[in-house]
Amino acid sequence: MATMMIPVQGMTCEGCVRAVTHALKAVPGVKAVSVDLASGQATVTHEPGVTEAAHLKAAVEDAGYDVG
Amino acid sequence: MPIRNSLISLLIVLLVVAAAVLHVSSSKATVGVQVGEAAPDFQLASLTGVRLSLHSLRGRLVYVNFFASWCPPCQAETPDLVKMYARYGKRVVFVAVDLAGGDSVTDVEAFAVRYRIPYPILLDLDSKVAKRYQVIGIPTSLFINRNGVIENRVLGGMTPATMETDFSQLTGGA
Repeated sequence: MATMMIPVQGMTCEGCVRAVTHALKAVPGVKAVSVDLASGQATVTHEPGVTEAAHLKAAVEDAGYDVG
Repeated sequence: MPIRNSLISLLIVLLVVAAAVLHVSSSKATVGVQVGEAAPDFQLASLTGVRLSLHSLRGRLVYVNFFASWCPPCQAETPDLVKMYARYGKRVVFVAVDLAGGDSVTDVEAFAVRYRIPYPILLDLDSKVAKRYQVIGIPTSLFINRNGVIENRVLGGMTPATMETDFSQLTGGA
C-alpha cells in the first residue's frame, strides 16, 4: 500500500468531505480515504500500480471539486 | 574459422542495429510526463540558492521526488530515500522538489536538517513544475533514464522494498 496527500479545493462543509471521500473510495485500488476539511487535504491509501493519478483527479472533479 | 568470423561479424552488426534502434526510439520520445515520454525540462533554485535544470543532467540517471515538509507520507519515506541515496547516489542524481507554494522555506530547511537530506532540494514556489508534471498529490516520484525519458512514475510513499526494486531497475540491476 502507498499513501499520498491530495489537495482538494472547493470544500466548504462536511457534506463536501463526504462527497470527496465517497468519490475517491470508488477509484480502483483505493483502500482508504481520509479528508480533512480545515486543511483541504485528502489522504489516500492505494494499491501501487493499480490506482492512476488521472482517475483520482477525475473522481474529485466529477464530485464537483478541484485538485490543486 | 571463417564461420566463426562470420558469426562474430553478424553479432556486431546486430548489436550496432539494436543500439541504433534504441537511440532513435529514445530520441524520438515525445515530451510529456507519463512513462515512456521525455521529461520536460525545468529549472529551479535550491534551498542553498543554486539553480539546477533537468536538462543539465541529461546523460545521467535522475530520480525526482515531489514532496512538502508538512506531508506525513513524505516524512515517512524520506529516511528510506536518504538510505537509497547512500546506496545509489553515485549512479543516480537525486533531486527533491518541494511544493513550496504551500510550504515555508523555514519548514523546508528544518525538514532538510531533521532528515539530514544530502541531495538538493529545489523550491517550486509557484507549483509550476508540479503542475507541468501533472502532480496531483505528494509524494510523487519519477525515475528518468540517461536519455531523459521517464521510466517509472510512482504515486504515493514508497517502501524500502519498492524503492530497492525501482532504483535497481533504473540502474539496470547493477
